[in-house]
Amino acid sequence: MTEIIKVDGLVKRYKELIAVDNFTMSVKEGEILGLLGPNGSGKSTTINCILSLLEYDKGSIKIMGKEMSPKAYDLKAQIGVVPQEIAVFESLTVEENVDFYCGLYIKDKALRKKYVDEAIDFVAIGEFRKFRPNKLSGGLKRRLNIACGIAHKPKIIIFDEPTVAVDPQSRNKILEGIKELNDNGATIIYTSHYMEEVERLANHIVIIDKGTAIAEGTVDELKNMIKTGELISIEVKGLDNKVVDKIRDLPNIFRVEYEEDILKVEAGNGKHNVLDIVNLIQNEGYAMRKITSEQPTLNDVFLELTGKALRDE
Amino acid sequence: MYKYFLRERLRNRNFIFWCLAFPLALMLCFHFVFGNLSTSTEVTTLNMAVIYEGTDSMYNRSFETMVDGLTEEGSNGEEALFKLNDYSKAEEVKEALINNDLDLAFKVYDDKVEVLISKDYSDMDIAVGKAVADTFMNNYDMMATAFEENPQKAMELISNLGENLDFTAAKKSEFAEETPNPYIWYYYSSFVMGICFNAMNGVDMVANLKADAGYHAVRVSVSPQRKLRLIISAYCAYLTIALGINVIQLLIMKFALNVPLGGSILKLVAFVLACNLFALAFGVVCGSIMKGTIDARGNKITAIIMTSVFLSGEMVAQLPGMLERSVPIINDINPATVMNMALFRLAYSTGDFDFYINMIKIVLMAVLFITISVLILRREKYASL
Ligand SMILES: Nc1ncnc2c1ncn2[C@@H]1O[C@H](COP(=O)(O)OP(=O)(O)OP(=O)(O)O)[C@@H](O)[C@H]1O
Ligand SMILES: [Mg+2]
Repeated sequence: MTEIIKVDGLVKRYKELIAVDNFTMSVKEGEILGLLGPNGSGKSTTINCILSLLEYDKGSIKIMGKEMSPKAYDLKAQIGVVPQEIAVFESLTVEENVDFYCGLYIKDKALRKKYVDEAIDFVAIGEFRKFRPNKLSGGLKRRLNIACGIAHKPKIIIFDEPTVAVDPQSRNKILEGIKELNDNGATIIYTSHYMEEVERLANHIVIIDKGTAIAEGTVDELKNMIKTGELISIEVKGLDNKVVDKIRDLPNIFRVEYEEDILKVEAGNGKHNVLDIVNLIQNEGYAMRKITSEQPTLNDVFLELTGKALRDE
Repeated sequence: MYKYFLRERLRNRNFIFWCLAFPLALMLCFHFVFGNLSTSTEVTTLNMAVIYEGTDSMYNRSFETMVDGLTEEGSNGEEALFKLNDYSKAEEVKEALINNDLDLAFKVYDDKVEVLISKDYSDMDIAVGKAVADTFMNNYDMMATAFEENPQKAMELISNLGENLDFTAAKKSEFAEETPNPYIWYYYSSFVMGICFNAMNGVDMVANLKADAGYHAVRVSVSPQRKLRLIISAYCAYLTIALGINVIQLLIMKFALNVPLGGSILKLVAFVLACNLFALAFGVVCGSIMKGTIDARGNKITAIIMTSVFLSGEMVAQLPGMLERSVPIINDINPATVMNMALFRLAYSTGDFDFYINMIKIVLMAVLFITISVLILRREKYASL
């Protein structure tokens, strides 16, 4: 796969504040890149630099091997943007809005008509095409916002948190749509602070914090980067402290906690962590009720890398 | 783009209200309060006296003849311009002027005519007085020659001189506290107000084209469109609608409200075009410089326009006159006042000079602001979004 976007050593300062700090990222053709980071981590800033809307202090941005600039119209024609905020004209109908933005890219009227219809169908807002945006629900507006950004069938599509304040059902539709766009050949950059979304959608993830890329890779690669491989929780009554210590001494175990009849264990990557613990407890003569074992989430990855939660849950 | 900018504006209720409906509503209010303009008289009879200081009987007699013509009632029942009062002494005349028994007096020398005004003079008095005196002096030489050839004909000529008097021409100050018809001013300033509200469109243009001011503009800016093309499209679309609105308003003013608009359509078009362009560009420049949400910027612009329009005499027609005496610079630079003056001059055409001087001001301001606005809007990369 060839590299389609290359961000190298990007630095963007707002007076004292460094919004993006030596950020490097590369996007390969045909992939969905998830740019994951908490609020204020610099996602939008990075996107705006890539789009040549923001002046930046250092670094270089190349798209399809060419230096990106405001006058790189040939590059701009290949890019679709769905901004974080809903940007549609209230006094134009759904259809007119899509047609207006599509018209900035596609001059041919017949072709544009086709593209507009396809975009409207794609986000499934066909029955509202003659509506004004203020008559649409939040989720529908989001979908209109997306239709406006993708109607011209761009090769690269940038979504900046397209699912903020959207109910789970609409969110699912949006995510499915993005997947479909990708299946149809578009390269996608997707920013979010929802790790489940990114985990579900992206085949390449860049985690950004305080303007710096702190980790990157596929979901599995990221999870393998951290010590924690498994989170085990066992409900067991009146466990003796000696037993807890024994568990702690087992190989591949690095954190044990016992509170209110629940034993929590963090284990490294290994095949039989659960088995080892269960056997030990059984041999000591305790009865266990509920046993669960979870894979670490991206949140755990983030937690371990930065020492703080990705977002408050 | 042009098409959508146009359509988007046309459906914008806010804009249609402020630019089209509101000024018309005000004009209609004035119409019902002040009555029909065509029936109101502009000049009332003035109390006048003449003092003959000179010895040239020919000069004196000529002036007397002319004044006689002006003290007669018009053939179609118009009031006479003057009522001639008999005073034998110059001191008595002065006294009468101080007591406001007389509105004005003429002092006739051998080679010139002076105008004396009363203590509480109005600008109208000055206007009429100067017009009469100037007309007489300007035409006397011609008259005197004519006398030698045909005294009878010359006398007739002189007594008819008054009929061609143009009072507005001689008005000393443009901003009379009692303009010939102060109500006219209200119509003009309502119309000008509508034009000024185009500045609000300018702010919306900023939101659509300046990426650090709105997400619409972000979308437009990331597209492969040349910025200059977008700017021109937007200007053309906004201007088209503004002109459309003005045509409607002018037609109503002319045919339903009988507001005089002067004889030159060409000048009127030039005036309306320049004013709208200025207002739009002014809005763009202010909207770009201001901080805050687009709505907040729009509100600030509205406040600025309201102030400007108020100072130009909408609501209180005497205001510009008062300003002219205390701080004339305000009138000179207040766009709404300048536009009002241009329109007033256009309607009461008194030679092109007065109109053009105001037009030039408007055009210069328009060019200046358009240039700045284009420079601002053309920017493609921002330090901060
Ligand atoms: N115009 C600006 N002036 C000053 N600081 C800014 C400006 N825009 C953004 N910042 C700061 O830059 C940092 C990065 O902001 P950015 O919008 O890129 O974050 P983000 O990752 O997109 O967050 P969110 O998830 O909230 O959208 C933040 O600390 C923000 O406060
Ligand atoms: Mg953001």
